[in-house]
Amino acid sequence: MVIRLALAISFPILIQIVIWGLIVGCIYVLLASGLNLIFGVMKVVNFAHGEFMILGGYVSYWLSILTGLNPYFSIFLSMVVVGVIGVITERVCFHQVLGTSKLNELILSLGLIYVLQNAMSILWTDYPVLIDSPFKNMIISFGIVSMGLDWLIVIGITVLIMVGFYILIRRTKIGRAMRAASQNRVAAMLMGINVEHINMLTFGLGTALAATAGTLLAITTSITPYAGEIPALKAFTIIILGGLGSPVGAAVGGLVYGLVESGAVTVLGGTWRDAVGFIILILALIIRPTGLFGEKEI
Amino acid sequence: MKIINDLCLIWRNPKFYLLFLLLVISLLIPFFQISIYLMHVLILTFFFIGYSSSWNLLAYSGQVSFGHAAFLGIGAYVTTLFTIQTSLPFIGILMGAIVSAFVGFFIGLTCVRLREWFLALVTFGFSIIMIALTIELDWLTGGTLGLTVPKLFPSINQYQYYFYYYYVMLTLAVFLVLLFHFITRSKVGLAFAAIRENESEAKATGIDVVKYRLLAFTISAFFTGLMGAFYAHFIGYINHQIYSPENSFWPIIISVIGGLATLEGPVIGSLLRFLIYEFLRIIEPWVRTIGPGMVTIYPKMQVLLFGAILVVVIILMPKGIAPWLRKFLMSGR
Repeated sequence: MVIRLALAISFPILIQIVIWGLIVGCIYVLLASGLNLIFGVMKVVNFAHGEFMILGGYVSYWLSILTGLNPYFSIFLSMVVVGVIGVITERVCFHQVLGTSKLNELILSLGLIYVLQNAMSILWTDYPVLIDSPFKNMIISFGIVSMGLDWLIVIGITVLIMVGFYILIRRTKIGRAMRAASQNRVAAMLMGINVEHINMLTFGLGTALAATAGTLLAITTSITPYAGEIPALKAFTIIILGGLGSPVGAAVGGLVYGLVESGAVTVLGGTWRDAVGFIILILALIIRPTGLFGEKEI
Repeated sequence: MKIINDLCLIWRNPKFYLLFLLLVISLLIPFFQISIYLMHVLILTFFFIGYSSSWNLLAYSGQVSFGHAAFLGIGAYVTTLFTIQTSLPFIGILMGAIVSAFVGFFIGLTCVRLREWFLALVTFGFSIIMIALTIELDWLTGGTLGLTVPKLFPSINQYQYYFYYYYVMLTLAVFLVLLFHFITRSKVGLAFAAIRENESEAKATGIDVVKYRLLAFTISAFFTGLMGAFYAHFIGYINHQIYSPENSFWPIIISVIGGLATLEGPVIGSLLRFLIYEFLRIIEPWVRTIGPGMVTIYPKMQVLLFGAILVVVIILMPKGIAPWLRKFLMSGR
């Protein structure tokens, strides 16, 4: 461990940690933002969010294989497809248990994890899937820092989508309705907002963001049907640490978490990849049982 | 005195006759020269009754753990390491349960003030941390290669071992269900139920919420560790997979389908799991005729089916099968 730590301190490796942390962070930002939106507006705890991410990756994979579409364009198509599936899931499943106990939502999402994972496994087998990017071998270097063009595009797309998401939430009528529903559902209903429509839209948007994360994950590393379960729970860790319902917390938290994980993997080894986040979560909850920054409105 | 009173009352309960019939049948099953496979599955069914009951006791106090495999694994690893050193398996099993209870106490301590889904996340995270810890401490735990667990008692062959182990697991399952029956009927059980139904009202009536939640966590962890230890000696091999999320999720699926926070829920759920798996196995040759791809797809369809059952149960009857069955039995009287 000491040797690994000494290696990590050297500058080029530090740069690699930061770059890889940014890439992983981008995926967490998208995942946590979608989750945060769903939790903030609907107060639904959806542990099956990661499965929608993987589903998005597979849909993009299919689109790029079957139609030869550039994977970066297929992101937007897979957002639509997964968003529609998300809306259906909301109608069929989560809408039925909304307002009953949180336990029902947890267990429902557990059932959904099993259903989605195995459905994807039946459709696309268990072998890891990697989306071939046309820019696979291009490397851009700035002085001593060199990175694949893909990675740069991943960061660019994340920024683009997050800016679009921010504008949607802050500047449009729909976004205002969502924020109203997040603050007070009954009052929003009295103001003439159709809360059911907002719920559907929120869930669709949240899962669409997850689908983006899945596509980027499939481009940068690879995906298997079972790869979504733990990232979703890590994303919950991120939104608890970043302040429940706070969009800025989710975005910044995701990025910081990516960097922390990347550093921890280099120093402690890959075994600890999944454990690091939960150790931080447990320590944080011992100090502040309600989460680091409490609960906020979108 | 209360226990004797309870035992007298039990005769008037129609549920009792059903359980008694089940018990007699399960006592007689090994004498019918059933296959070693069926023996294995039945032992696992009893294991799941005990494990899910332990999980369900925690749910009875309003706390839902998503990482009970951690306690299962701690019990299993402690007894394995102890038995390898000293070849005293029964003391090892007790040690496993005690260490598991000890760890459960500390996890409970971090969880007492958390809301339910934070608790689910923390317990799940704990089982993931245990995976990393087990792989990292490979000089002790054998890492990913795992360890061979010594047998609980000597036997001539596998069948004889299973034959005796069948009764060991059956006794354990019956013992745990009866024990939890008495716990839930006691003052402690009432406190658990009060906390589950409404925490602030429970606090207002003078119940020490923190104390009782911790107690539930410790008892649950103790018996989960116990079941884990017996499981390890039965399977004969453990590695970090024992902490896997599937092991954490099975008791949830079983208890919820059977009936969350009811005594008979885990029993019904485990038996249902057994029956569904056996039915799926019986129709397997027929399914295989559909196409060559079914060989790989079929096991996945089985797990998918359980997920779908869980979703349907939670939407249509969130209290599970037990209340429905209870009503059915009561109306027949």
